[in-house]
Amino acid sequence: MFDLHSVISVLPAEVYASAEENLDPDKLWEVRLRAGMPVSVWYGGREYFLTRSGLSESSAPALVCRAEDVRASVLGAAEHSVYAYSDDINRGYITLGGGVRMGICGEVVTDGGKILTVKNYSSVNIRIPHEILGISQCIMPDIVGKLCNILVLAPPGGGKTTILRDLARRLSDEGGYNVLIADERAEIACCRRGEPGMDVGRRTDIITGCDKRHAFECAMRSVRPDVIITDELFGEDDARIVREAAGCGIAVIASAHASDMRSFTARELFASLGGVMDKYAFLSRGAGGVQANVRNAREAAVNDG
Amino acid sequence: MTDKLLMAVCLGCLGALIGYAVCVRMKRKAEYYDDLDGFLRTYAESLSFSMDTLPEVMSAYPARSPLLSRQLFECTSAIRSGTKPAPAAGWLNGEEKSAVIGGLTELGTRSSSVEKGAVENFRLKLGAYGKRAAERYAKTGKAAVKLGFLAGLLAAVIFW
Repeated sequence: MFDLHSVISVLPAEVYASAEENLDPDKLWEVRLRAGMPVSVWYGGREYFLTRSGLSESSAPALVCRAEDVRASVLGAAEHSVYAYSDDINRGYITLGGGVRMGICGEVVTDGGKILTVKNYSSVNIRIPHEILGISQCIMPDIVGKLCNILVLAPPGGGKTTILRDLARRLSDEGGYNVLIADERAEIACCRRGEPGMDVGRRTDIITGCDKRHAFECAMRSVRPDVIITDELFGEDDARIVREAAGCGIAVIASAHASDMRSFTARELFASLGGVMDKYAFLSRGAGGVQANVRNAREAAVNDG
Repeated sequence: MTDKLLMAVCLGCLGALIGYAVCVRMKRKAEYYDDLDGFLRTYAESLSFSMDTLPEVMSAYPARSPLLSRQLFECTSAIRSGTKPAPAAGWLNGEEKSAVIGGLTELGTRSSSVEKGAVENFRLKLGAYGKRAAERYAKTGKAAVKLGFLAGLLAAVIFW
């Protein structure tokens, strides 16, 4: 259950007071603060504007966020220590306690293509994750008993990260496997200062904030996982690393963006993986929540590609 | 006669006490600036090496000065509760208050390289106040007790 008090340092006082008084934290998914604009929230599956007395579909009575509020929000997320969170800010987000993530928009200062800093923050998006324990039940029957390489496919916002997180927990706690999460953007385990913000299992190791190559090399050289879980495979580099891990006998469960098999086979990633994946799990949202259509990789490529 | 002698003694003692209070304040001011400079040096080292957060540096610093200890505590508490730091000014005068409080509340709001430069500038600025406080204490602080006693006696003579 999400505790609203955990984000008190990143919300303007008026916004926090209204949210505390009028909103159910378990239905709150996003709070957007934009300089000079009404405060909006994603609540109960819809977007609303936040007023002093609750929610409104109209922006007229909404609380308005000032530029100083956005700056104070970033300062609060960085514990008043921007220098210590420079890398995070330059990447565009700060991970807070409990898995809450703040996306930051502003003016990027570069030098020769290298990002030096972000200044004049214009907006932040405070995303609140909600663990959905058991969501991976749609995939678990297909991997129970024998680990294999699985690629979870869905469009953005389709539930891939949520499923990977739950899979990690279940493989670790129920399956008894040593799990390594290569969490490049701290989205799966939501680690902050070494502590995972989400339950990812008792036998799970997490490498946060570095590229997949480093995490996979650590795995193959010293951590000795039974399975590596990672998010958002993208191109040839990611595919090569997955092939190497699979060749070392480590199962890989990863995710990638795709709406269906046809669109996935058109991507460079599909060719780069070279058939190393054993199964594809296509996610879709139905009345009963997230559903997974798990198919043998070779059959899916032949029939639907 | 006895009453007047007693009054002279009391006024003399009162004057000495006031002088002692002035001496203590001067000493505390000199110690405060020395302690604050020590904190900023520690903070600058953290920027170069460990990159600890500002609340961590503030709560770990063993402040000797009661005023600095209170200011660091108030800043840390404000940051952790999500409010803007507003540390107490104590007995700092207007110009010092503006410089010290303004500098403390701006700590941590900049990127690493900019923050290092800002901390050095802050130390230089405070160094002038610290030097002035130390010189004042050295010249007149210790003599303040005697001067206070004499002032008390003078007051007694005037009222005699």
